[in-house]
Amino acid sequence: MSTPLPAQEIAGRIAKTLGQGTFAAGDPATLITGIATTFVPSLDVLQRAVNAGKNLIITRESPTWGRNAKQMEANPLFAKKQVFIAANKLAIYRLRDPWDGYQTGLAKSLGWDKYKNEGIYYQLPPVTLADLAKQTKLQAVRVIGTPRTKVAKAALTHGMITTPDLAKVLKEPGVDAVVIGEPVEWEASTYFQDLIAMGQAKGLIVLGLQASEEPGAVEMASWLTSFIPELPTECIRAGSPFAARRWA
Amino acid sequence: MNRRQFAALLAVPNLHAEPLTVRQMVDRITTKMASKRNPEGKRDTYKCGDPDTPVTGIATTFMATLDVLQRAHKSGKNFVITHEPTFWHDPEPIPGMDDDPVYRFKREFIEKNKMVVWRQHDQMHGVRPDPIFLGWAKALGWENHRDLTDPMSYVIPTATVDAIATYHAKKLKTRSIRLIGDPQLKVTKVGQGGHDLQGNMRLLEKNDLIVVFEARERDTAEYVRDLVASGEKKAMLLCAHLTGEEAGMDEFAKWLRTIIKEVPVEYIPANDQFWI
Repeated sequence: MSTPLPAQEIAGRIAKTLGQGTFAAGDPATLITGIATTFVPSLDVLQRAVNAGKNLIITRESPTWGRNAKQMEANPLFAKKQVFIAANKLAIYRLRDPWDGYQTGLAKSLGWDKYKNEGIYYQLPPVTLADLAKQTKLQAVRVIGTPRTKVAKAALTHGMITTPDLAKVLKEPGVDAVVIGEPVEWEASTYFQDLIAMGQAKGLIVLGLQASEEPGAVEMASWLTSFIPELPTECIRAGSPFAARRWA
Repeated sequence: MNRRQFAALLAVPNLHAEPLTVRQMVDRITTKMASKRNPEGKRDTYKCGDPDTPVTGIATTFMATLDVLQRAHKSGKNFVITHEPTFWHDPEPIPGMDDDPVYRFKREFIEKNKMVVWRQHDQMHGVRPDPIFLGWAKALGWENHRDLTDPMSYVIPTATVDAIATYHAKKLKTRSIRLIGDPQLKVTKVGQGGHDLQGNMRLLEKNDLIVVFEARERDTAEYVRDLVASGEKKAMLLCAHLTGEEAGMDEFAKWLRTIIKEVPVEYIPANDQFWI
C-alpha cells in the first residue's frame, strides 16, 4: 500500500545524500502517489508516467529544452506541455548532482560492470573498436578512429565532455578507447582526431547524451526505493531521440 | 641573349620580386571581402606561426586539424585558412593547456614547418549570400531552390526524409546522419539549421524538415522529439558540423584565386570526423 507524500518531502529526503534540485514545473506541495525517474521529461515520458500513475518526475534534463521557462513563454509547444503538466497535476523535479549512479548505471547498461575497473578505466576482453561500437547496440553511435584499432583498456564517461576533461582522461597510460556522451565537434572530438593524427592508435565512441545518462535514471529509481518505501518508483526511459536508421 | 637566358627570363614571374607575406595576403583578403561584419573580435585572428612568413601556397579548410595541416605541408602550402578553431575551443587557446602533449605537438608542427594558421569565420559569415551556406547548397545542387524570403530555407521537389538523408550521405560524403521523426514523411520545405535552439525553432515553424549541422542534444534534439510527439509533421536530420560548412571553404578557395594570383590556392577537405 502506498502512502502519498508531498513532493517537497521527497526532495528533502534526496537532499540528505545528493544536492538540492529544483522544481522545474508543478507545485512542491503536490501529494505524490508514484515516482518516475527519467533522463528527460519529454512529452512521451510525461504521458507514460501519467498512464503508470506516477505524478512526480525526477529528471536530469529540463522540460524546457535546456532553456528556462521564461525564455520559452511564447512557444506553442511549451504551452502544450504546460497544459499537460497542469491538467495531470505533475511535479517535475530536476536533479543534476554529479551522482556516481550515472557511472554505475552506464557500466551496467554496456555490460562492463563484470570487468575489472579502476575508477573510470575498465579492462575489457580484447576487442576491435568496430566491434566495441557494435556491442553498444546503439543505432546512433558515432566513432572516431580506425575500426580495427585493438581495445583492451577503455575509459567510460557520460554526458558532455570538454577538451580539458578529455585530455585529463587520456593522461592515464595505456588507454585504447574513450567512451563519451556528447562532444562539441570543434572541441573534444577534434582534439581526439588530432591525437590519432599524431600516430596514436586510439578510438573514441560517442554514445549520445541520452544513451550515456539514461542508465543513471534506472539506478536512481532503485536507489530511491531504498529510502522512499512508501511509494512505487520506476524509471520511465525516454529512449533514444534518434530513429533506428542509418544511411551510410 | 641565348636560349637558356631567354628561358630563364620566362620562368621569372612578372609580379613581385619578394614573395608576399601572410600578413600582406590577409590585408588583401580582408579588404576585398565585401562583408557586413568586419570582425575585431577574437575569432578571425592568427592562431599560430609568424604572420610575416613569406607564403608558398594557401590551403583553405573547414578545420585546421593536424591531419589537414600535415596534408597542407606535404603539398607545399604554408598558409592555412581555417573556418573553425585550431586548438579545440572558441576562444582559443584554452588556458592551462600549454603543456598538453597534443597542443604542443600541433603547435610545434606548425612552427617547425614555418606554417601560419589564420581563422576566417565571422567576416565570411557577413558576406551575402553567405559563401559557407552557398557552398552547401551548391554541393547539394540546391542553389536554385532557395526560398527567396529566407536565406536559410529551401523549397525542393517533394521527397521523403529518407530519400533526402540518402542524398545527403552521398553528396556530402557523410556517415553520421541522425534522424528524429518519420523517415517516410514527405517534405518540400527544408531549413538549414545550426547550433542554436532559437534559430532551429524559427526554422521549424516554416519548414517541414530541418537539416542541422551540429546542435546540442539536450536542446534541439529534445525539442524536435517533443514537436514530433505533439503531432506536428516535422523532422530533423542531425548531421556533423563539417558536413554543412566544408563545401563553403571550397567556394572560398575559388574566390581567393580571383584575388591572389601569386601562389597556388588549394581547398583541403577535413572530411567527416566520424566513420560511423
